[in-house]
Amino acid sequence: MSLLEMLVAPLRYPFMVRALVASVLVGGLSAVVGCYVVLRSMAFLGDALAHAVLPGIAAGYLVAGGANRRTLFWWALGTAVAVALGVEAIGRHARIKEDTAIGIVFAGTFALGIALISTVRGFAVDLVHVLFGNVLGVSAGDLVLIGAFTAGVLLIVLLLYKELLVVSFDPTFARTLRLPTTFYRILLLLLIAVVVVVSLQTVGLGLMLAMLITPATTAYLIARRLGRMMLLSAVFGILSGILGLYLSFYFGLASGAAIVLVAIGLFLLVLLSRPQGPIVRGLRRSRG
Amino acid sequence: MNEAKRRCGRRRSRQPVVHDAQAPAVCVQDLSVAYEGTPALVEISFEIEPGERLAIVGPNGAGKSTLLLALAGLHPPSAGRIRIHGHAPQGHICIAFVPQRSAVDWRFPVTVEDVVTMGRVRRLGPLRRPRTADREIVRRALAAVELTPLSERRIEALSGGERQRMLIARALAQESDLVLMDEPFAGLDVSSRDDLIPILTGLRDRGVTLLVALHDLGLASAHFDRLLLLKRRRVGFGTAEEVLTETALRHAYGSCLRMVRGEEGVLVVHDTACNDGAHDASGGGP
Repeated sequence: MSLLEMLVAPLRYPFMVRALVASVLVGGLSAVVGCYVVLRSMAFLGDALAHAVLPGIAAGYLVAGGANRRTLFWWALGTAVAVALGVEAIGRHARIKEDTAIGIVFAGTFALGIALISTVRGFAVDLVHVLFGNVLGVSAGDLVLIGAFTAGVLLIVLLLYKELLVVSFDPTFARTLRLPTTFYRILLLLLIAVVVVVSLQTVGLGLMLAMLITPATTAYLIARRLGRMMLLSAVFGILSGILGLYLSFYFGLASGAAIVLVAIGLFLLVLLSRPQGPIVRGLRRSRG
Repeated sequence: MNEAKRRCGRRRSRQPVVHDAQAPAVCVQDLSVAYEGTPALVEISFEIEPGERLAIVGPNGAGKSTLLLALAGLHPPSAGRIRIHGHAPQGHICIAFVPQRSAVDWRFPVTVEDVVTMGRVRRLGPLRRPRTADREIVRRALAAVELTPLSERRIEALSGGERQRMLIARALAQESDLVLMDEPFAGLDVSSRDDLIPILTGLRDRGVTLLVALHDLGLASAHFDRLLLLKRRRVGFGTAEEVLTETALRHAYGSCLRMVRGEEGVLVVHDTACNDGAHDASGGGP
Protein backbone atom coordinates (compact mmCIF):
# COMPACT_ATOMS: atom_id res chain seq x y z
CA MET A 1 0.00 0.00 0.00
CA SER A 2 1.42 3.38 -0.99
CA LEU A 3 1.61 6.31 1.44
CA LEU A 4 -1.17 8.09 -0.40
CA GLU A 5 -3.42 5.06 -0.12
CA MET A 6 -2.62 4.85 3.56
CA LEU A 7 -3.64 8.47 4.01
CA VAL A 8 -6.83 8.16 1.99
CA ALA A 9 -8.03 4.77 3.20
CA PRO A 10 -9.46 5.91 6.54
CA LEU A 11 -11.35 8.74 4.85
CA ARG A 12 -13.73 6.20 3.30
CA TYR A 13 -15.32 5.94 6.72
CA PRO A 14 -17.56 8.90 7.59
CA PHE A 15 -16.84 8.47 11.30
CA MET A 16 -13.12 8.91 10.58
CA VAL A 17 -13.76 12.10 8.61
CA ARG A 18 -15.82 13.50 11.48
CA ALA A 19 -13.17 12.43 13.95
CA LEU A 20 -10.47 14.16 11.89
CA VAL A 21 -12.44 17.41 11.71
CA ALA A 22 -13.07 17.28 15.45
CA SER A 23 -9.39 16.59 16.19
CA VAL A 24 -8.25 19.47 13.99
CA LEU A 25 -10.69 21.90 15.63
CA VAL A 26 -10.01 20.78 19.18
CA GLY A 27 -6.27 20.36 18.66
CA GLY A 28 -5.97 23.89 17.28
CA LEU A 29 -8.29 25.51 19.81
CA SER A 30 -6.80 23.96 22.95
CA ALA A 31 -3.29 24.69 21.66
CA VAL A 32 -4.05 28.42 21.19
CA VAL A 33 -5.77 28.92 24.56
CA GLY A 34 -3.14 26.64 26.09
CA CYS A 35 -0.53 29.34 25.38
CA TYR A 36 -2.10 31.43 28.14
CA VAL A 37 -2.31 28.38 30.40
CA VAL A 38 1.43 27.83 29.98
CA LEU A 39 2.49 31.47 30.22
CA ARG A 40 0.40 32.21 33.27
CA SER A 41 1.33 28.90 34.98
CA MET A 42 -2.28 27.76 35.10
CA ALA A 43 -1.62 24.10 34.25
CA PHE A 44 -2.94 22.86 37.58
CA LEU A 45 -6.09 24.94 37.16
CA GLY A 46 -6.61 23.54 33.66
CA ASP A 47 -6.30 19.98 34.95
CA ALA A 48 -8.64 20.75 37.85
CA LEU A 49 -11.24 22.26 35.51
CA ALA A 50 -11.13 19.15 33.36
CA HIS A 51 -11.72 16.84 36.32
CA ALA A 52 -14.31 19.12 37.90
CA VAL A 53 -16.54 18.57 34.88
CA LEU A 54 -17.29 15.02 36.01
CA PRO A 55 -20.09 15.77 38.54
CA GLY A 56 -21.77 17.96 35.91
CA ILE A 57 -21.80 15.09 33.47
CA ALA A 58 -23.04 12.68 36.13
CA ALA A 59 -25.78 15.08 37.21
CA GLY A 60 -26.79 15.63 33.58
CA TYR A 61 -26.92 11.85 33.12
CA LEU A 62 -29.13 11.44 36.19
CA VAL A 63 -31.44 14.33 35.35
CA ALA A 64 -31.82 13.57 31.67
CA GLY A 65 -31.95 9.84 32.37
CA GLY A 66 -29.41 8.76 29.77
CA ALA A 67 -26.28 9.63 27.89
CA ASN A 68 -27.66 12.19 25.46
CA ARG A 69 -24.43 13.86 24.48
CA ARG A 70 -25.99 17.25 23.78
CA THR A 71 -27.46 17.39 27.29
CA LEU A 72 -24.21 16.25 28.84
CA PHE A 73 -22.30 18.93 26.92
CA TRP A 74 -24.34 21.75 28.43
CA TRP A 75 -24.17 20.23 31.93
CA ALA A 76 -20.41 19.92 31.58
CA LEU A 77 -20.10 23.52 30.38
CA GLY A 78 -22.22 24.81 33.24
CA THR A 79 -20.12 22.92 35.79
CA ALA A 80 -16.82 24.09 34.29
CA VAL A 81 -17.94 27.72 34.37
CA ALA A 82 -19.21 27.37 37.94
CA VAL A 83 -15.95 25.79 39.10
CA ALA A 84 -13.86 28.45 37.33
CA LEU A 85 -15.79 31.21 39.06
CA GLY A 86 -15.69 29.30 42.36
CA VAL A 87 -11.89 28.99 42.33
CA GLU A 88 -11.60 32.69 41.48
CA ALA A 89 -13.93 33.65 44.35
CA ILE A 90 -12.18 31.41 46.91
CA GLY A 91 -8.77 32.64 45.82
CA ARG A 92 -9.84 36.27 46.18
CA HIS A 93 -11.84 36.23 49.40
CA ALA A 94 -10.49 33.45 51.59
CA ARG A 95 -6.95 33.64 52.90
CA ILE A 96 -6.00 30.52 50.99
CA LYS A 97 -3.32 30.13 48.36
CA GLU A 98 -4.71 29.65 44.88
CA ASP A 99 -3.22 26.20 44.25
CA THR A 100 -4.63 24.99 47.56
CA ALA A 101 -8.06 26.32 46.65
CA ILE A 102 -7.79 24.59 43.27
CA GLY A 103 -6.74 21.32 44.93
CA ILE A 104 -9.71 21.36 47.28
CA VAL A 105 -12.19 22.11 44.51
CA PHE A 106 -10.54 19.65 42.13
CA ALA A 107 -10.60 16.60 44.41
CA GLY A 108 -13.95 17.55 45.89
CA THR A 109 -15.77 17.84 42.58
CA PHE A 110 -14.12 14.69 41.22
CA ALA A 111 -15.25 12.74 44.30
CA LEU A 112 -18.74 14.15 43.93
CA GLY A 113 -18.76 13.02 40.30
CA ILE A 114 -17.67 9.49 41.16
CA ALA A 115 -20.23 9.31 44.01
CA LEU A 116 -23.01 10.38 41.64
CA ILE A 117 -21.89 7.92 39.00
CA SER A 118 -21.75 5.05 41.49
CA THR A 119 -25.52 5.45 41.98
CA VAL A 120 -26.10 4.68 38.31
CA ARG A 121 -25.76 1.17 37.03
CA GLY A 122 -24.56 0.88 33.44
CA PHE A 123 -22.69 4.17 33.40
CA ALA A 124 -19.36 2.36 33.54
CA VAL A 125 -18.88 2.13 29.78
CA ASP A 126 -19.80 5.76 29.23
CA LEU A 127 -17.49 6.75 32.05
CA VAL A 128 -14.54 5.38 30.12
CA HIS A 129 -15.53 7.67 27.24
CA VAL A 130 -15.73 10.66 29.57
CA LEU A 131 -12.34 9.87 31.07
CA PHE A 132 -10.46 9.00 27.92
CA GLY A 133 -12.50 10.46 25.07
CA ASN A 134 -14.29 8.89 22.16
CA VAL A 135 -13.46 10.94 19.12
CA LEU A 136 -14.59 8.17 16.79
CA GLY A 137 -18.13 8.60 18.12
CA VAL A 138 -18.42 12.29 17.20
CA SER A 139 -21.70 13.03 15.41
CA ALA A 140 -22.40 15.73 12.83
CA GLY A 141 -24.34 17.62 15.49
CA ASP A 142 -21.36 17.46 17.86
CA LEU A 143 -19.19 18.92 15.10
CA VAL A 144 -21.49 21.91 14.71
CA LEU A 145 -21.29 22.57 18.44
CA ILE A 146 -17.50 22.12 18.53
CA GLY A 147 -17.12 24.34 15.45
CA ALA A 148 -19.28 27.12 16.87
CA PHE A 149 -17.44 27.22 20.20
CA THR A 150 -14.05 26.99 18.51
CA ALA A 151 -14.90 29.97 16.30
CA GLY A 152 -16.26 31.94 19.26
CA VAL A 153 -13.24 31.38 21.50
CA LEU A 154 -10.73 32.08 18.72
CA LEU A 155 -12.58 35.29 17.84
CA ILE A 156 -12.37 36.53 21.43
CA VAL A 157 -8.67 35.64 21.66
CA LEU A 158 -8.02 37.50 18.42
CA LEU A 159 -10.10 40.61 19.21
CA LEU A 160 -8.77 41.00 22.74
CA TYR A 161 -5.22 39.96 21.84
CA LYS A 162 -3.43 43.08 23.06
CA GLU A 163 -5.47 43.42 26.26
CA LEU A 164 -5.00 39.75 27.21
CA LEU A 165 -1.29 40.12 26.43
CA VAL A 166 -0.87 43.15 28.72
CA VAL A 167 -2.93 41.66 31.53
CA SER A 168 -0.98 38.38 31.36
CA PHE A 169 2.45 39.94 30.95
CA ASP A 170 2.33 42.73 33.52
CA PRO A 171 -0.80 42.88 35.72
CA THR A 172 0.50 45.91 37.65
CA PHE A 173 1.00 47.86 34.46
CA ALA A 174 -2.46 46.82 33.28
CA ARG A 175 -3.88 48.28 36.49
CA THR A 176 -2.13 51.62 35.98
CA LEU A 177 -3.66 51.69 32.49
CA ARG A 178 -6.96 51.23 34.38
CA LEU A 179 -7.79 48.12 32.37
CA PRO A 180 -10.44 45.91 34.04
CA THR A 181 -7.93 43.22 35.07
CA THR A 182 -10.42 41.13 37.07
CA PHE A 183 -12.73 41.01 34.07
CA TYR A 184 -9.94 39.74 31.83
CA ARG A 185 -8.80 37.16 34.38
CA ILE A 186 -12.31 35.75 34.68
CA LEU A 187 -12.74 35.87 30.91
CA LEU A 188 -9.60 33.79 30.51
CA LEU A 189 -10.89 31.25 33.05
CA LEU A 190 -14.15 31.02 31.14
CA LEU A 191 -12.31 30.51 27.84
CA ILE A 192 -10.32 27.66 29.39
CA ALA A 193 -13.54 26.15 30.78
CA VAL A 194 -15.11 26.21 27.31
CA VAL A 195 -12.00 24.65 25.75
CA VAL A 196 -12.01 21.87 28.35
CA VAL A 197 -15.63 20.98 27.63
CA VAL A 198 -15.26 21.19 23.86
CA SER A 199 -12.19 18.92 23.99
CA LEU A 200 -13.87 16.42 26.29
CA GLN A 201 -15.03 14.11 23.55
CA THR A 202 -11.69 14.05 21.76
CA VAL A 203 -9.19 13.25 24.49
CA GLY A 204 -11.36 12.91 27.59
CA LEU A 205 -10.81 14.68 30.86
CA GLY A 206 -7.95 12.43 31.91
CA LEU A 207 -5.71 13.62 29.08
CA MET A 208 -7.10 17.13 28.62
CA LEU A 209 -4.14 18.80 30.28
CA ALA A 210 -1.77 17.44 27.65
CA MET A 211 -3.74 19.10 24.85
CA LEU A 212 -3.69 22.42 26.70
CA ILE A 213 -0.02 22.57 27.58
CA THR A 214 2.05 20.24 25.38
CA PRO A 215 1.67 21.96 21.97
CA ALA A 216 1.94 25.39 23.65
CA THR A 217 5.14 24.41 25.45
CA THR A 218 6.59 22.99 22.23
CA ALA A 219 5.87 26.32 20.52
CA TYR A 220 7.29 28.26 23.48
CA LEU A 221 10.65 26.57 22.94
CA ILE A 222 11.09 28.13 19.49
CA ALA A 223 8.85 31.21 19.25
CA ARG A 224 10.10 34.72 20.00
CA ARG A 225 6.69 36.42 20.18
CA LEU A 226 3.30 35.45 21.55
CA GLY A 227 1.52 35.65 18.18
CA ARG A 228 4.03 33.27 16.63
CA MET A 229 3.84 31.00 19.67
CA MET A 230 0.05 30.73 19.25
CA LEU A 231 0.37 29.99 15.55
CA LEU A 232 3.03 27.30 16.04
CA SER A 233 1.11 25.85 18.97
CA ALA A 234 -1.98 25.52 16.78
CA VAL A 235 0.10 23.79 14.11
CA PHE A 236 1.50 21.33 16.66
CA GLY A 237 -1.96 20.75 18.14
CA ILE A 238 -3.58 20.09 14.76
CA LEU A 239 -0.69 17.88 13.65
CA SER A 240 -1.01 15.84 16.85
CA GLY A 241 -4.74 15.42 16.23
CA ILE A 242 -4.30 14.19 12.67
CA LEU A 243 -1.25 11.97 13.22
CA GLY A 244 -2.74 10.56 16.41
CA LEU A 245 -5.92 9.55 14.64
CA TYR A 246 -4.03 7.78 11.87
CA LEU A 247 -1.95 5.92 14.46
CA SER A 248 -5.14 5.01 16.24
CA PHE A 249 -6.68 3.77 12.96
CA TYR A 250 -3.77 1.59 11.85
CA PHE A 251 -2.57 0.26 15.20
CA GLY A 252 -5.88 0.06 17.03
CA LEU A 253 -4.74 2.47 19.77
CA ALA A 254 -7.11 4.49 21.92
CA SER A 255 -7.50 7.69 19.91
CA GLY A 256 -7.13 10.20 22.76
CA ALA A 257 -3.98 8.53 24.02
CA ALA A 258 -2.52 8.34 20.50
CA ILE A 259 -3.12 12.09 19.98
CA VAL A 260 -1.43 12.97 23.27
CA LEU A 261 1.51 10.66 22.56
CA VAL A 262 2.10 12.38 19.20
CA ALA A 263 1.95 15.79 20.93
CA ILE A 264 4.58 14.65 23.41
CA GLY A 265 6.67 13.13 20.62
CA LEU A 266 6.67 16.51 18.83
CA PHE A 267 7.66 18.21 22.08
CA LEU A 268 10.64 15.90 22.57
CA LEU A 269 11.65 16.28 18.91
CA VAL A 270 11.68 20.08 19.17
CA LEU A 271 13.33 20.06 22.59
CA LEU A 272 16.19 17.91 21.37
CA SER A 273 16.66 19.42 17.91
CA ARG A 274 16.48 23.16 18.59
CA PRO A 275 19.74 25.15 18.30
CA GLN A 276 20.44 25.01 22.05
CA GLY A 277 19.51 21.32 22.16
CA PRO A 278 21.92 18.37 22.44
CA ILE A 279 21.62 17.15 18.83
CA VAL A 280 22.71 20.41 17.20
CA ARG A 281 25.42 20.93 19.79
CA GLY A 282 26.63 17.39 19.24
CA LEU A 283 26.79 17.90 15.47
CA ARG A 284 28.73 21.13 15.96
CA ARG A 285 31.16 19.43 18.29
CA SER A 286 31.77 16.50 15.91
CA ARG A 287 32.42 18.92 13.05
CA GLY A 288 34.77 21.21 14.73
CA MET B 1 -0.09 68.37 20.51
CA ASN B 2 -0.13 70.02 23.91
CA GLU B 3 -3.89 69.93 24.03
CA ALA B 4 -3.86 66.23 23.20
CA LYS B 5 -1.22 65.55 25.82
CA ARG B 6 -3.09 67.42 28.53
CA ARG B 7 -6.12 65.23 27.95
CA CYS B 8 -4.28 62.23 29.28
CA GLY B 9 -6.79 59.97 27.64
CA ARG B 10 -9.17 59.05 24.92
CA ARG B 11 -12.61 60.03 23.88
CA ARG B 12 -14.88 57.14 24.72
CA SER B 13 -16.57 55.72 27.80
CA ARG B 14 -14.90 55.57 31.23
CA GLN B 15 -13.16 58.68 30.11
CA PRO B 16 -9.92 59.50 31.87
CA VAL B 17 -9.73 62.94 33.45
CA VAL B 18 -8.59 66.12 31.70
CA HIS B 19 -5.57 67.65 33.38
CA ASP B 20 -6.07 70.88 35.31
CA ALA B 21 -3.36 73.20 33.89
CA GLN B 22 -3.22 75.32 37.05
CA ALA B 23 -2.87 72.41 39.47
CA PRO B 24 0.52 71.05 40.57
CA ALA B 25 1.65 67.77 39.00
CA VAL B 26 1.43 66.03 42.36
CA CYS B 27 -0.33 67.35 45.43
CA VAL B 28 -0.41 65.17 48.53
CA GLN B 29 -2.27 66.34 51.64
CA ASP B 30 -2.14 64.60 55.03
CA LEU B 31 -1.79 61.22 53.34
CA SER B 32 -1.87 58.16 55.56
CA VAL B 33 -1.67 54.60 54.26
CA ALA B 34 -2.02 51.43 56.29
CA TYR B 35 -1.65 47.71 55.57
CA GLU B 36 -4.31 45.80 57.49
CA GLY B 37 -4.32 48.34 60.29
CA THR B 38 -0.53 48.79 60.50
CA PRO B 39 0.38 52.35 59.48
CA ALA B 40 2.97 52.52 56.68
CA LEU B 41 2.72 56.26 56.03
CA VAL B 42 1.42 58.92 58.41
CA GLU B 43 0.18 62.37 57.43
CA ILE B 44 2.46 63.06 54.48
CA SER B 45 2.07 66.35 52.60
CA PHE B 46 4.06 67.75 49.68
CA GLU B 47 3.65 69.33 46.27
CA ILE B 48 5.56 68.87 43.03
CA GLU B 49 5.34 71.06 39.92
CA PRO B 50 5.24 69.57 36.39
CA GLY B 51 8.70 68.60 35.14
CA GLU B 52 10.29 68.44 38.59
CA ARG B 53 12.40 65.49 39.70
CA LEU B 54 11.83 64.25 43.22
CA ALA B 55 13.92 61.65 45.01
CA ILE B 56 12.13 59.84 47.82
CA VAL B 57 14.73 58.71 50.35
CA GLY B 58 14.71 57.06 53.73
CA PRO B 59 15.66 53.80 55.46
CA ASN B 60 14.07 50.46 54.62
CA GLY B 61 10.47 50.31 55.75
CA ALA B 62 10.17 54.11 55.65
CA GLY B 63 7.21 53.88 53.29
CA LYS B 64 8.90 54.82 50.01
CA SER B 65 7.32 52.00 47.99
CA THR B 66 3.98 52.49 49.72
CA LEU B 67 3.96 56.16 48.72
CA LEU B 68 4.62 55.23 45.07
CA LEU B 69 1.84 52.60 45.12
CA ALA B 70 -0.60 55.14 46.53
CA LEU B 71 0.43 57.77 43.96
CA ALA B 72 -0.09 55.24 41.16
CA GLY B 73 -3.61 54.63 42.46
CA LEU B 74 -2.80 50.99 43.25
CA HIS B 75 -3.20 51.20 47.04
CA PRO B 76 -6.00 53.21 48.65
CA PRO B 77 -5.09 55.85 51.26
CA SER B 78 -6.60 55.36 54.72
CA ALA B 79 -6.75 59.14 55.16
CA GLY B 80 -5.80 62.32 53.33
CA ARG B 81 -5.84 62.88 49.61
CA ILE B 82 -3.74 62.67 46.50
CA ARG B 83 -4.24 64.87 43.46
CA ILE B 84 -2.37 64.30 40.22
CA HIS B 85 -2.83 67.29 37.90
CA GLY B 86 -5.88 68.17 39.95
CA HIS B 87 -7.57 64.75 40.01
CA ALA B 88 -7.46 61.46 41.93
CA PRO B 89 -4.88 58.96 40.55
CA GLN B 90 -7.53 56.39 39.60
CA GLY B 91 -8.82 58.67 36.84
CA HIS B 92 -5.44 58.87 35.08
CA ILE B 93 -4.02 56.60 32.43
CA CYS B 94 -0.83 58.63 32.13
CA ILE B 95 0.86 57.48 35.35
CA ALA B 96 3.73 55.12 34.66
CA PHE B 97 4.78 52.97 37.62
CA VAL B 98 7.93 50.87 37.56
CA PRO B 99 8.07 48.71 40.70
CA GLN B 100 11.38 47.41 42.04
CA ARG B 101 10.45 43.81 41.52
CA SER B 102 7.92 44.02 38.79
CA ALA B 103 5.40 41.23 38.38
CA VAL B 104 6.80 40.75 34.89
CA ASP B 105 7.77 37.23 33.83
CA TRP B 106 10.98 37.91 31.91
CA ARG B 107 10.72 34.60 30.04
CA PHE B 108 7.47 35.71 28.42
CA PRO B 109 7.71 35.45 24.61
CA VAL B 110 7.70 39.15 23.76
CA THR B 111 10.25 41.44 22.13
CA VAL B 112 11.40 44.81 23.44
CA GLU B 113 9.24 46.49 20.81
CA ASP B 114 6.18 44.46 21.91
CA VAL B 115 6.59 45.64 25.49
CA VAL B 116 6.98 49.30 24.51
CA THR B 117 3.92 48.98 22.24
CA MET B 118 1.95 47.90 25.33
CA GLY B 119 2.14 51.56 26.36
CA ARG B 120 -0.31 52.29 23.55
CA VAL B 121 -2.93 49.72 24.56
CA ARG B 122 -5.25 51.92 26.57
CA ARG B 123 -5.09 54.90 24.21
CA LEU B 124 -5.95 52.62 21.29
CA GLY B 125 -8.91 51.16 23.13
CA PRO B 126 -10.34 47.66 22.62
CA LEU B 127 -10.51 45.95 19.23
CA ARG B 128 -8.01 48.35 17.62
CA ARG B 129 -4.56 47.52 16.35
CA PRO B 130 -1.60 49.91 16.54
CA ARG B 131 -1.48 52.23 13.54
CA THR B 132 1.35 54.08 11.81
CA ALA B 133 1.19 56.93 14.33
CA ASP B 134 1.47 54.48 17.24
CA ARG B 135 4.39 52.69 15.67
CA GLU B 136 6.12 56.04 15.19
CA ILE B 137 5.60 56.88 18.88
CA VAL B 138 7.05 53.49 19.84
CA ARG B 139 10.03 54.03 17.52
CA ARG B 140 10.77 57.42 19.08
CA ALA B 141 10.40 56.03 22.61
CA LEU B 142 12.92 53.27 21.81
CA ALA B 143 15.31 55.84 20.33
CA ALA B 144 14.99 58.06 23.43
CA VAL B 145 16.31 55.28 25.67
CA GLU B 146 18.82 54.10 23.04
CA LEU B 147 17.30 50.67 22.63
CA THR B 148 16.58 50.87 18.91
CA PRO B 149 19.21 48.20 18.05
CA LEU B 150 17.64 45.78 20.54
CA SER B 151 14.00 46.35 19.58
CA GLU B 152 13.61 42.88 18.02
CA ARG B 153 15.29 41.08 20.90
CA ARG B 154 13.35 38.80 23.24
CA ILE B 155 13.25 40.42 26.67
CA GLU B 156 14.88 37.57 28.56
CA ALA B 157 18.12 38.47 26.77
CA LEU B 158 18.22 42.01 28.23
CA SER B 159 20.51 43.16 31.03
CA GLY B 160 19.11 44.81 34.16
CA GLY B 161 19.83 48.33 32.88
CA GLU B 162 18.30 47.57 29.47
CA ARG B 163 15.17 46.28 31.20
CA GLN B 164 14.81 49.54 33.16
CA ARG B 165 15.31 51.55 29.96
CA MET B 166 12.70 49.44 28.16
CA LEU B 167 10.18 50.15 30.93
CA ILE B 168 10.95 53.89 30.64
CA ALA B 169 10.39 53.64 26.88
CA ARG B 170 7.03 52.01 27.61
CA ALA B 171 6.19 54.97 29.88
CA LEU B 172 7.10 57.33 27.03
CA ALA B 173 4.90 55.38 24.61
CA GLN B 174 2.16 55.62 27.20
CA GLU B 175 2.61 59.44 26.90
CA SER B 176 3.06 59.43 30.60
CA ASP B 177 3.16 62.76 32.43
CA LEU B 178 4.17 61.23 35.74
CA VAL B 179 6.77 58.49 36.05
CA LEU B 180 7.10 56.67 39.38
CA MET B 181 10.13 54.38 39.79
CA ASP B 182 11.03 52.24 42.78
CA GLU B 183 14.80 51.74 43.16
CA PRO B 184 15.60 51.81 39.43
CA PHE B 185 19.33 51.52 40.16
CA ALA B 186 19.08 48.47 42.40
CA GLY B 187 21.22 45.66 41.07
CA LEU B 188 22.68 47.72 38.21
CA ASP B 189 26.41 47.89 37.58
CA VAL B 190 28.08 51.30 37.43
CA SER B 191 28.04 51.62 33.64
CA SER B 192 24.35 50.67 33.37
CA ARG B 193 23.65 53.18 36.10
CA ASP B 194 25.56 55.88 34.23
CA ASP B 195 23.55 55.09 31.07
CA LEU B 196 20.26 55.35 32.94
CA ILE B 197 20.89 58.69 34.70
CA PRO B 198 20.90 60.97 31.60
CA ILE B 199 17.73 59.23 30.35
CA LEU B 200 15.99 59.98 33.63
CA THR B 201 17.19 63.57 33.76
CA GLY B 202 16.20 63.99 30.11
CA LEU B 203 12.56 63.29 30.99
CA ARG B 204 12.26 66.90 32.20
CA ASP B 205 12.63 68.19 28.61
CA ARG B 206 9.51 66.23 27.77
CA GLY B 207 7.61 67.84 30.63
CA VAL B 208 7.53 64.54 32.49
CA THR B 209 7.44 64.69 36.29
CA LEU B 210 9.67 62.06 37.86
CA LEU B 211 9.39 60.55 41.35
CA VAL B 212 12.02 57.98 42.25
CA ALA B 213 12.47 56.01 45.46
CA LEU B 214 16.20 55.73 46.18
CA HIS B 215 18.59 54.30 48.72
CA ASP B 216 21.57 56.25 47.49
CA LEU B 217 21.68 59.73 49.04
CA GLY B 218 24.57 60.69 46.75
CA LEU B 219 22.57 60.02 43.58
CA ALA B 220 19.55 61.70 45.13
CA SER B 221 21.38 64.95 45.85
CA ALA B 222 23.32 64.98 42.57
CA HIS B 223 20.52 64.34 40.07
CA PHE B 224 17.21 65.42 41.61
CA ASP B 225 15.62 68.84 42.10
CA ARG B 226 14.14 68.00 45.45
CA LEU B 227 14.27 65.30 48.10
CA LEU B 228 11.56 63.89 50.29
CA LEU B 229 13.04 62.21 53.37
CA LEU B 230 10.65 59.71 54.90
CA LYS B 231 10.45 57.61 58.01
CA ARG B 232 6.76 56.75 57.98
CA ARG B 233 6.29 60.50 58.51
CA ARG B 234 7.79 63.30 56.49
CA VAL B 235 11.20 64.08 57.99
CA GLY B 236 12.26 66.62 55.38
CA PHE B 237 11.23 68.03 52.02
CA GLY B 238 13.20 70.45 49.84
CA THR B 239 16.58 70.73 48.14
CA ALA B 240 19.39 68.39 49.17
CA GLU B 241 20.98 71.17 51.28
CA GLU B 242 17.71 71.76 53.11
CA VAL B 243 16.85 68.12 53.69
CA LEU B 244 20.12 66.34 54.39
CA THR B 245 20.86 67.99 57.73
CA GLU B 246 22.45 66.21 60.63
CA THR B 247 19.27 66.35 62.70
CA ALA B 248 17.05 65.05 59.90
CA LEU B 249 19.39 62.23 58.97
CA ARG B 250 19.86 61.18 62.58
CA HIS B 251 16.11 61.18 62.99
CA ALA B 252 15.48 59.12 59.85
CA TYR B 253 18.35 56.66 60.03
CA GLY B 254 18.94 56.61 63.80
CA SER B 255 21.98 54.69 64.90
CA CYS B 256 22.67 53.30 61.42
CA LEU B 257 24.36 56.56 60.54
CA ARG B 258 27.83 57.86 61.32
CA MET B 259 28.71 61.46 60.55
CA VAL B 260 32.30 62.50 60.22
CA ARG B 261 33.11 66.21 60.10
CA GLY B 262 35.69 66.64 57.35
CA GLU B 263 37.35 69.47 55.48
CA GLU B 264 34.78 69.58 52.68
CA GLY B 265 31.71 69.33 54.85
CA VAL B 266 30.07 66.44 56.60
CA LEU B 267 30.67 62.91 55.42
CA VAL B 268 27.68 60.70 56.04
CA VAL B 269 28.43 57.03 56.40
CA HIS B 270 25.40 54.85 56.15
CA ASP B 271 26.03 51.55 57.86
CA THR B 272 24.77 48.83 55.54
CA ALA B 273 24.76 46.25 58.32
CA CYS B 274 21.68 47.94 59.77
CA ASN B 275 19.57 47.10 56.76
CA ASP B 276 19.38 44.28 54.30
CA GLY B 277 19.66 46.56 51.27
CA ALA B 278 22.87 47.53 49.54
CA HIS B 279 23.62 51.04 50.72
CA ASP B 280 26.39 53.36 49.77
CA ALA B 281 28.42 55.75 51.76
CA SER B 282 27.60 59.11 50.34
CA GLY B 283 28.59 62.75 50.65
CA GLY B 284 26.14 65.12 52.31
CA GLY B 285 25.73 68.88 52.68
CA PRO B 286 28.18 71.33 54.26
